[in-house]
Amino acid sequence: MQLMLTQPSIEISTNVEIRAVFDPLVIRLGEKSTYRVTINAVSDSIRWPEDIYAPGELTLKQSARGQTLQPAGAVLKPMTTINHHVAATAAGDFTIPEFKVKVYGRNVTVPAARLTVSTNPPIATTDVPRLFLEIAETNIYSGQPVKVRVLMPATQGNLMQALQQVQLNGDGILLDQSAVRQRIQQMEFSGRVGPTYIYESTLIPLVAGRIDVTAQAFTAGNQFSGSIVIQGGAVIQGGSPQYLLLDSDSVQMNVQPLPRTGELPGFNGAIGQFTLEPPQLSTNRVRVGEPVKLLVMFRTDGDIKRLLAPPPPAVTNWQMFPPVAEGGLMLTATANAISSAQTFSYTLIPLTNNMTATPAIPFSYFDPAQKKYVDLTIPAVTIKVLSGGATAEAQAIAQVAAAATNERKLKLSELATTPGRTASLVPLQLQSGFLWGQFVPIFGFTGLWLWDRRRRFYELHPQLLVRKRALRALRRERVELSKAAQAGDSARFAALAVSTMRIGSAPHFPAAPRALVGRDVLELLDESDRNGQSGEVVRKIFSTTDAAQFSTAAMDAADLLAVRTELDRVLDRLEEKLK
Amino acid sequence: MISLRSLQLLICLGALLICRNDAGANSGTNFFKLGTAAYEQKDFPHATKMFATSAASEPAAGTFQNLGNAEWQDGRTAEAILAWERAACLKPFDRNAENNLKFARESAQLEAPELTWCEIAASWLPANVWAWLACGSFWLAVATMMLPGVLRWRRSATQQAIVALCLGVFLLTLPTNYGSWTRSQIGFVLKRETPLRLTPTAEAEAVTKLAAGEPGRVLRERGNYLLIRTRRTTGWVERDDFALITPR
Repeated sequence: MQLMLTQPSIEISTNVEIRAVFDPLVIRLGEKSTYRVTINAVSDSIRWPEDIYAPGELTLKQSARGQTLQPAGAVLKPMTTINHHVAATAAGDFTIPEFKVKVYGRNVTVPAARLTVSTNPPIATTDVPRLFLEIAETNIYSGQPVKVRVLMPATQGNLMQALQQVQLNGDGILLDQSAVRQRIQQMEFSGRVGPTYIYESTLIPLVAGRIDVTAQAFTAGNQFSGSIVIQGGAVIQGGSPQYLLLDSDSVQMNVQPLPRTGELPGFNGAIGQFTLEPPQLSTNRVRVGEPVKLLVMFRTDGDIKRLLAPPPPAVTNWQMFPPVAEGGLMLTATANAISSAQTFSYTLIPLTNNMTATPAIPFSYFDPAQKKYVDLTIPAVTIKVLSGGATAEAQAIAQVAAAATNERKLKLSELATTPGRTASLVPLQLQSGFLWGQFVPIFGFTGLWLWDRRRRFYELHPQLLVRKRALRALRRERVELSKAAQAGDSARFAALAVSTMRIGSAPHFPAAPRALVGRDVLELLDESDRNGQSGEVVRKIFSTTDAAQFSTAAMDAADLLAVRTELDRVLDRLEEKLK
Repeated sequence: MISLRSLQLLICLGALLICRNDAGANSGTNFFKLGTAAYEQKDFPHATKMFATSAASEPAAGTFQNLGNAEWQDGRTAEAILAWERAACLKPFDRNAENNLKFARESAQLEAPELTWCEIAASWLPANVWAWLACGSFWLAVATMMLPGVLRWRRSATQQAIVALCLGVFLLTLPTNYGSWTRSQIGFVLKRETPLRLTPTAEAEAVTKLAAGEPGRVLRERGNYLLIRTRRTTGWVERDDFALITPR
């Protein structure tokens, strides 16, 4: 906490100032300029637009973004720089107008900047510090380390500056910061011999495909970070440094995946060219249960520190521990390059005394020059194992460890013996039939609910149900009545007429239809109807049918068919009363 | 009442349907066996053809797994990954397809699709199971709420517990069904060095080139082009150069 408090604070309270310039201000047609915007704010607080309005003749592409913290009294002043590469398709004066960006949540104006594109201007381009990126190989394999150099030639007067925050931008790449070397040396660059600042490191592509890599760095005056070798004459700029964000053109790398075919046992990602010194044992006589060390030295022309030693194989008669690096790297300088070597030690414990040699340790690497995998298995070393005291537990542990190692190794599965259950690849969620099918329960449950609602209503109002049923029966009987009339069956007509009138009248009385008599029907008619022709017809029909029912004489209903019209009127009245 | 003639017609139609299904099943199984035999004789192109025919007539997890193996042995990484993804989609419990996908991606140095939490949950069971679980639990909850009133049953705590359980299951299956839907938009680049273009035109600038087998998520379609989002960038690819796990 005290350490945190003693650190200088970062100044974020001052007014935001923005500078926008083209560097250089005048270019030839076909050359590139850099549109550089500098803001005194932390990078994360700036919401920079993806597209900036520019005249149609200019093409803008964001190329770098970086932040420095410059000491200003007791505080650190943040300074963020955003670079765009600008190319012009025509000569002329072009202005990027002012526009707004959000900094610390507030709108701030980026001032306008002007660029002159000329066909033959008198330009001294060496005044502008430029950054160049060189990658030793651009057609490489994924995981293959490759030398990369960031160069900054001196400006006029052999004026040299240091570079800070050198970084490489690109998808799926790793820059080895531990392999950085920087120097200033005389070299020819763009047809001019002079001092050049060189930043060297190793780049490792992690993914396959086309990768565009750019470099960016801040100029830092005479403030060199880390050790630097200076060869030849170079003038180091004095005074306080001017932090200028530079960036290079992109370099395209074509990264291929390692070939699948021809992979050898023990391959653990090593790419390059390696040699193996004869392995050595710490002793050639060992008792069962006693540890013995196997020393193995790998050598390569490049950098060996990323080499992973091959893991110990799973064997049952030996308990083997993972390898550890012994000592540091051994560097040997040759005429053109530096070769490095690394020793690994494996600790082995014999579990039985029936072995005469240590197990061979499979190892292979991929050689990009030969484009194939090369076997570099650590050979077995003769050893004499004397009887001793390895416990059963130690042996069991070793065997379990060996089995677990075998299980971890991925490999292609065997073929399935049966196709399995057939199913559509299109999930039900995407099938319209399934979605429409949901309407079946919707309709079902809605119908059930409506039926229940209706049933409950009729339970509360049973008289409505009785009337409804009577109305339905009345209409049914009237159809039959009509048929009997048309057939001239007067006896059936009379019976049906009585029955229809009883059905139509029954809901108005607490009685069954068969219990009703003509008087009951007449009660339901108006006074005028009851005393008029309608009443007469009702009486006549009932008296005729009663006579037929209660006397021995045959029913004389021949003239009843003639009163059909009046009967229909009576039935209409009864029907209306039921509605 | 159904007449005798209608009954005979129904029986004939049923028999025809069963025979047709049997014929389809037999042809699919035959192609599967032929594919297996060709694979064992190391005739991988022929095995690929047989398994592909079998998968077209009868899509099944085992067929897709074998199709993936044959494609892989034939050196067609993207097609192999697509087939194994389809096998894993149909049968998530099968470890073989998952193991093969890990193996292939490790060997070819390809990335797996980036899945959201909904999609990860959706991959625990086949997509159809999630769909049935969702609609089954929902309608069971509705039925349990509604039927006691309609059928004049006495309401009990058990019924309420069933309703709560069903609604709980239904709510839990909503994200997984959404995940199943979004997973159907995941696909893989089929051709090597497929250009990812800025605009859906043949003359458009290529943002980058994609390796065969690289995953992407379809965001939009336009003519013969699909707008896909990969792990690093977004751009348009030709429809023929990209295949979805769930064919449309």
